Amino acid sequence: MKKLFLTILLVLVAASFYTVMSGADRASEVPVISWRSDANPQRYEQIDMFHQWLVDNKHVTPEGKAAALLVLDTADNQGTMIQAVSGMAGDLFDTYDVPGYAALGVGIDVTEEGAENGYGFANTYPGMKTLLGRDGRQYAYPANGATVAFWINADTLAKYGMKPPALEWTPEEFEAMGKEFVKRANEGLPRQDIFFTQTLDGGWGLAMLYSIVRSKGYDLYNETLTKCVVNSDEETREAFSDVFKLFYKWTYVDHLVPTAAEVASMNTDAGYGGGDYSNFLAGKYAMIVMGRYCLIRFREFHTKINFALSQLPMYDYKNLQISARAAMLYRGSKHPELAKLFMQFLASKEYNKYIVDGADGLPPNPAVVVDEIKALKDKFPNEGRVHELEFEWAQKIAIPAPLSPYVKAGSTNWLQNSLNRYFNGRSSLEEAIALIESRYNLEIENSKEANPAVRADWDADWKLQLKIDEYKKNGKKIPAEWIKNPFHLKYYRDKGMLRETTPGGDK
Amino acid sequence: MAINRKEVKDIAVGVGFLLPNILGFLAFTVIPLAMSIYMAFTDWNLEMHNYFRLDTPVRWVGFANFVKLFTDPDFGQYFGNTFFLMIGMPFGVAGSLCAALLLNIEFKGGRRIFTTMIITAVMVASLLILLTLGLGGSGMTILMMSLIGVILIIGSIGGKTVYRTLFYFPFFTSGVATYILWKKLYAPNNGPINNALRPVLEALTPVAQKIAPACSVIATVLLVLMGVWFLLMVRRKMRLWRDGESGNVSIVLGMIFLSLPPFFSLYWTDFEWVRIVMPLFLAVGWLMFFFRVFILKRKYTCVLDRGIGDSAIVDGAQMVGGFILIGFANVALLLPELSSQPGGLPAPEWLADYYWAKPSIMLMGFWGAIGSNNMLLYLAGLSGVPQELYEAADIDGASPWQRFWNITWPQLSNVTFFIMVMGVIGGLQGGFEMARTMTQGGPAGSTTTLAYYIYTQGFSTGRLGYASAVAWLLFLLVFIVTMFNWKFGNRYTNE
Repeated sequence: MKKLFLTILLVLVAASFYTVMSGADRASEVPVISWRSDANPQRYEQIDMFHQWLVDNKHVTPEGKAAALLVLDTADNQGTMIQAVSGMAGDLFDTYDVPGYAALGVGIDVTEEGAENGYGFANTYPGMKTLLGRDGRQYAYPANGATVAFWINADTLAKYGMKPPALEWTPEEFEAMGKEFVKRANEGLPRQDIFFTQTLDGGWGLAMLYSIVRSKGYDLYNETLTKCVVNSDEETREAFSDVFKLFYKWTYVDHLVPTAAEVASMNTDAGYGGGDYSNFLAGKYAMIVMGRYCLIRFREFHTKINFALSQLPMYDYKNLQISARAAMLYRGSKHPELAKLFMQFLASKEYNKYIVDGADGLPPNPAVVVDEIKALKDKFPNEGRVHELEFEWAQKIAIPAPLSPYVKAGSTNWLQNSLNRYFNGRSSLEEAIALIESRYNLEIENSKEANPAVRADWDADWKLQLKIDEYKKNGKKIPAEWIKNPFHLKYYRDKGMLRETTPGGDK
Repeated sequence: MAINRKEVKDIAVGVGFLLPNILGFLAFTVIPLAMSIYMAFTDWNLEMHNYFRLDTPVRWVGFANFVKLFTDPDFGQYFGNTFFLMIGMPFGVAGSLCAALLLNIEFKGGRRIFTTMIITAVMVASLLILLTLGLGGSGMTILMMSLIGVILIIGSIGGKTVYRTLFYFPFFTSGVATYILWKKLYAPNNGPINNALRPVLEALTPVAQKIAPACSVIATVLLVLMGVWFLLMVRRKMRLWRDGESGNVSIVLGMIFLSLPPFFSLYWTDFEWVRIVMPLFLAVGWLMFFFRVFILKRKYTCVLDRGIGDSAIVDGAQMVGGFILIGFANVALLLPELSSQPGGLPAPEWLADYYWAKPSIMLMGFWGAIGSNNMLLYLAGLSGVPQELYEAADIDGASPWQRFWNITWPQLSNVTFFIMVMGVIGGLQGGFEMARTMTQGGPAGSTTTLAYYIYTQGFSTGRLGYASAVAWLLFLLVFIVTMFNWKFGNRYTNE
């Protein structure tokens, strides 16, 4: 028995030794850098491109081989966080929460190097600045981006004798057209099976909610992101309440969108992107809120949809939401200089052209692919103007979703929670709106309490907020550098309410 | 006693083989456990304390995390959710007992195979009728009906071994896979459960419409019944105490359990009269208690902790029964509105509905509990019941029910108590996988349990100190229950 156990032990030791020795970093002649990203097949092609890019740009060994070997790591989000705080993460990792990771102190500041080497804030979309760093410092560069808008199946609308909506439309126009569509599309059916768009009970609904509220000049947080203000004054409260009421009406009264129960009954929730793509393709939805990356799936199908694009319905101030899957440089990287080359690669023409052609969202550096974007219209006639419109909107009107440095990205989404409570009859409208403010402000209090450095930042920002309130009260122009909320910064700038300043002070 | 070289060598070899396991246990269980106790009393926050921020010392905050926990406005909801999901436990225990009793019967061969074949034929015929009427169009429904038929036939051939294996399926099937399956079963518009319910609800709609005017009265009767039931159970409890069948701990515990349904009816019903009548019921019940305990006193004395098992199981079951009556009363109140809807009585929206999400998970848990280790424990317990007791009962002319109630149930009391305690421990720690897979803790936090809350606090917001405090509070609850088991479990069995 002892010999058997000993043999098993030796086999295990040998297997472990072999596993370690056959790892990419041991087997490779050049340094290995790892990139944590999703398991999308396109990542492997992008890795090959990076190796070729290294050779083309003379980042090579004396033997002429690429100076680094990039390997893909596909840990999930929680895994990434645990690895990052334990000093075990890959050299680069993709995340949608750069500010959160920057707060953990696990990223490398690339502000100056990024600006020098063509992957700085200036080399991407203006709306992405707050998504790539913290306190004005840059820690990441986008691997791709997205601006969500309504992707319209023009064929579905045509089937019921309707035309795509205008590029810009109001919630009232959305409602009128939606009612007409569901009426025509479901005529003669035993049960409503066709909807104007996907459910509002989720992230896409919130994107629409923010667009409508922001188009009236209101936001979830104040100018310095120090306080949630949805219930602080009559106008903001009304703006949010109106959208809650509209969403309820569109879901349960007009039935323009499926209820949560109807979504749960759909047999199409498998695969990347959930059931929305299948329903859109099958003509069950006339339009869906999505980004350009949806084309990766739609191009796979034989049926070529004739697409149209419209902004989300909103009022006067035009705005859409932008997001970024950003590659962050890990502080524990063994080869930070090589990892920075990857960030340069992300800003290169080769990579951006790949993103444009492959429709993997928005290219991180649109300036280098202007001609390629224009060429898409001829290459994919059924896709029409969707590409140039999305690029235009991403550059001109897109801003990130509300995000306060004092509220953890992983904490409860209280806006969604309140909307659920209201939809389920658990809370009245007033209670639901009050709950959003009280819970987010409690999160802010918790963050301050948990970290003295955060408290100090908050105190400083709160002092600025008091000054901003004073300026607003007196109708004075507010110094731009005081504003931390990207929505207010853009909104006040566009409305001429800002006094432009330099980073050094108030001029 | 001196140890010789050979013995030393043997010990060294033994320890050597055990070492990998011991090291693993130390590294992944003991050390994290000890660290989490420490963390619960610190401000450990990943933002301040991680591999790259080793220079920031972790600050000792004493009981601050625990104080914060009780001031968190949503902690009560998550705590309540955890306990709500445990209400189904007595039904799970009863279900596993029934399953064990059934599986203790030999099914194989003989005349039963013909009975089974007839049942299967009836089922197939019913399915065909359903299909003809257009009611069985769902592929899932057909699949399930066919499965039941196949199981019956195989069972009649293979006997109880087949059924025992099949009943044990839920326990060894991957949790996530079964949760996804249940999500499909619960699909509100086309899931097999609602497909089966819909014809029943359609048939019930005219009845509901007829009794709609009386629904308020029905709800009132149910609530009054709950109040009267509370008083009757209090009287039962007093008699047990008077006769020395129940100790002081048992009577206090029992009174608390019994009082919970009338107390919560104040918050969970819309009747104004409840605000007056239920406090009256409660007052009368507690007056009876004080009158008996302090004035009339008891006839026979007994040890302090006698009858704890009675309180835990019988009074616990009464409490669950009380809550069910409140639930039915609320359903009765909603009936007029529901039955007047265009499509008649609507089928539940299960996981998509705030009020149905928890019961949905509870039902699923009930299914899992029937075919779990509990069933195996009961089967083992049944094999240990002395046959001579049954023979004596047969000679006395006992009915099957009398045999069960006077022999089987008391003989299984130790198993029942163990299952209840383990169930409470599992219930307090549970709910994470279901919430993560099926509902993400929603809608509106209705399925967020303490386990899920610990996870989100620890790994989404990085407040490890606070998450550890919640985890240790949970441990404290589990520990109290376990202590309870050690102290009173055997006594209950002997009673």
